[in-house]
Amino acid sequence: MATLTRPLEAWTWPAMGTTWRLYHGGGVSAEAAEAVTALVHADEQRWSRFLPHSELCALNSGAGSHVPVSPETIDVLRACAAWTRATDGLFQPLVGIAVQAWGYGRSMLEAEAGAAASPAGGPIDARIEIDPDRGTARIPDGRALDLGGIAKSWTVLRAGRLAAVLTDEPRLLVDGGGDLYAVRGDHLVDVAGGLWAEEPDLRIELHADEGVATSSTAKRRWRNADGVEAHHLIDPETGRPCPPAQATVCAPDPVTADVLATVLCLRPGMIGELALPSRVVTEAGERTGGGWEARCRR
Amino acid sequence: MTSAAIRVYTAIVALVCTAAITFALSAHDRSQRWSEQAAYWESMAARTAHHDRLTDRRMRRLAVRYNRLVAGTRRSQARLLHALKAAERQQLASASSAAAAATVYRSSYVSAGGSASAPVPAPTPAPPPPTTKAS
Repeated sequence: MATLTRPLEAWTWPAMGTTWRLYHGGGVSAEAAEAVTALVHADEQRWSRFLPHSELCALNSGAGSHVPVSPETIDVLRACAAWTRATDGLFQPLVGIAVQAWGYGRSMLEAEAGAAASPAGGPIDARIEIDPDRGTARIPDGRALDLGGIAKSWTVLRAGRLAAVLTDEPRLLVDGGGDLYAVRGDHLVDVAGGLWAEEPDLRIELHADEGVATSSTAKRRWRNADGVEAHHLIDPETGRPCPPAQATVCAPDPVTADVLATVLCLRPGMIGELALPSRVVTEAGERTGGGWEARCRR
Repeated sequence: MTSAAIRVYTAIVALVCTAAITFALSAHDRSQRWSEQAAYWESMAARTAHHDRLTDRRMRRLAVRYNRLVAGTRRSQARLLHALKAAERQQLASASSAAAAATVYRSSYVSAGGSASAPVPAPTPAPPPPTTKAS
């Protein structure tokens, strides 16, 4: 790496229940930042499951029938379908009903998560039908879509590409509440060190046009009224929250990083099959792969 | 011809006839086996050719789908680039049109009834380092 300079400035705004930042070296104007903010806002309006007018809610309420959606939604649904196929169903966006049944039915900014009784679970094996020509999509009856992390990382990617067009700034990084995309320049970024808060962070190199994401059962977790611990990462094979795990993946784009981090949380053993810099922590310990150590600046 | 010569002659003729009959029977067996084998290979070849045809058709269909996907992606990228360039031009034309620049991202598809306006980004001179911890 020729230069590793931490960006000194950022544009900051709230979106998707978290804080977004556009890091730069001083060359991003307020107008460009506002354009990026507007794009993120528009995507949130489309894909949030907590906004009743969103396209995602329209799809869920129209489950079983074809619902007209925007070309952006068609694009993200096609990406979901491709990732579901590529991961043999481990990446499953149709876990919405399970996530809700386990207690995560409302935004955590508005209400605490929790269910009176934890559900029994059960495999979730369903596919989204997409008709790009007609601009419609259909999810199976009895299922609900939860775009979760992929919507955020998809938006991070779009925001990064827009920022790249709007400015010549040589150091650009989009931070979508923890989904990072180094649009230009090389960066040093922090990743969560362990499953528990007291463990120190790690610092890694993130090169230009790369994304990094961490998926963890330590975030967005709660205890149901029956005493069962739950969190937002549902294993589609069981329909239940997966065992405690945290995974970080560096990839050529933030979407790949996010999806694979989720998959590694569900199946930590798969890290051996991954050629990308990655790290997974479970109660059994830490495993790294794909040249992670070379990226690490502890 | 003496009687001894006749006996020898008869014996030789009998031997020759036996050899000829044995050879003919053996040749018939071989011919039958070859014929069965030929039929087997012929059916095998037919099955292989049929399978090849099916595979070929599948590959062609796959290639067509792939080509469509590539073309679709290219079109989508072209549209995106066009939109981005339009946004850039708009950006340069008027500093106050930044919000409009974002509308090239098909803002007409933003669901009706959505939150009226996007939040305004705030400059942060010394932000914390980027981290995936909040992910």
